[in-house]
Amino acid sequence: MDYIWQGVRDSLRIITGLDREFLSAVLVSLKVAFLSTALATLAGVPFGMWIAEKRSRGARVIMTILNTLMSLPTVVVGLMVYSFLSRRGPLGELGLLYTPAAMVIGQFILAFPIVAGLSASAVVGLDKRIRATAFSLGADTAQSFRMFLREARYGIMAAIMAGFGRVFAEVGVSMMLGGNIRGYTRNITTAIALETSKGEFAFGIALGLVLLTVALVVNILFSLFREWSR
Amino acid sequence: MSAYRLHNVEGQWGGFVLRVDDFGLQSGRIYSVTGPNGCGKTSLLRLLALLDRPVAGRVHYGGDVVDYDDGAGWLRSRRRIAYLMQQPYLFNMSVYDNIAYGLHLRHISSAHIRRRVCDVIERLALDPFVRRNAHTLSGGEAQRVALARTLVLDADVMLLDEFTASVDQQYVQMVEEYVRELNTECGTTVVFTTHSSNQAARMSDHPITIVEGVVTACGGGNRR
Repeated sequence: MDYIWQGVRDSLRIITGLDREFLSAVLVSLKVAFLSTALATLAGVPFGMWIAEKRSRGARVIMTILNTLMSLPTVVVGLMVYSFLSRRGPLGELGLLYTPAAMVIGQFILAFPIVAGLSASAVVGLDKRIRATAFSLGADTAQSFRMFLREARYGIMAAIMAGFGRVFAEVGVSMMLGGNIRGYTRNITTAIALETSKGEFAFGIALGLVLLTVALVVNILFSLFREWSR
Repeated sequence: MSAYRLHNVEGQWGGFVLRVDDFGLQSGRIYSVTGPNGCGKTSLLRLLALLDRPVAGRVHYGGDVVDYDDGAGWLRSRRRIAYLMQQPYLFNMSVYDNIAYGLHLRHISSAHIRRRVCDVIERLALDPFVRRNAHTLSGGEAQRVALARTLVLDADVMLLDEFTASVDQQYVQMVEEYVRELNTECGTTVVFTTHSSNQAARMSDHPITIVEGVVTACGGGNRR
């Protein structure tokens, strides 16, 4: 047990000392995860709402595919994107492999089904009278749609948060597409994997604490948003 | 002055068809619409609210033919009409914000909105739960809030679909008085549906009857 407590003590020293490598991994994680979640939100929320509006068999099939993709293994996404971005792949000339951009692409693929699928579920569960009521009070099409979005806000926020949680904590995509390059593509999860394998237990714990703290902060922000928008 | 004139209008909702041969409503009057369940009372109100486009015929509103293809003109006309749906939905926000919603859509100044919302809140005794989320209200309270949200619009025409159906008995008289007052003091044209012949007689001298999708009788303004 002693070495665990020693690791925790050392990790606090690393956090408070603002170790450069530690900060770099945290920043890469935040930057890549925020960007991929933002892109997944821009594409996934409208797509999820569109699917939810459709009653066709095709839409139901797409929904089933989205639900399946929610549990897509990260290494499978990594492998798939790797095959496209590697030098011999169809997009090899772009030179994206082992860059933060490649990590964003992979994480986008991970987050999109979650954001789209959960947004669709949030919208399907909404009362069918929302837009009709807005129209009856004098709203035009855009205003009634805004009200519809407003009513779906908790479900959509939860979908975005779930997407962010998925990409912020994943390791497979970051490792395979980012290459764990120090100060460039090394993020929290790949750094934890590396440092722990090297026996640098304290460094791993310090980064793990940051992961947990970010998750906590995101949840607190969501709760505040709920309270504020009541 | 004519508020509405409907010529050979036919509205269709799935398999149901509502027919109006020639039908007029005069401004500043209170009309009651009665008839059995499913006869087309709500369909008539939706046509009058200009929410649904008829498949045939012409609708005149305020002396002009309604042009459903003129988006801006159609919206302007719709905003002169306040329509209370039979089963209204209250938005997931405070009672106050629900009532103010329609006024915000009309780009009315904040001070004016506050004044009007506070006035209607007082008139319908909504003060105790004005800051509460509308989704926490009982059925009767929710109905009064939905009614307040419609009455606050100060529209030329008010279309009320069974507006006291789930209002607690003790508030029915208060609501009816307020509607009558808006009619006498502001000249608002009121059209309401009801299953109560007593309420129809109490509130209106101009009955409209619908039988199996056909508007068969109309007091005041009907040429037939």
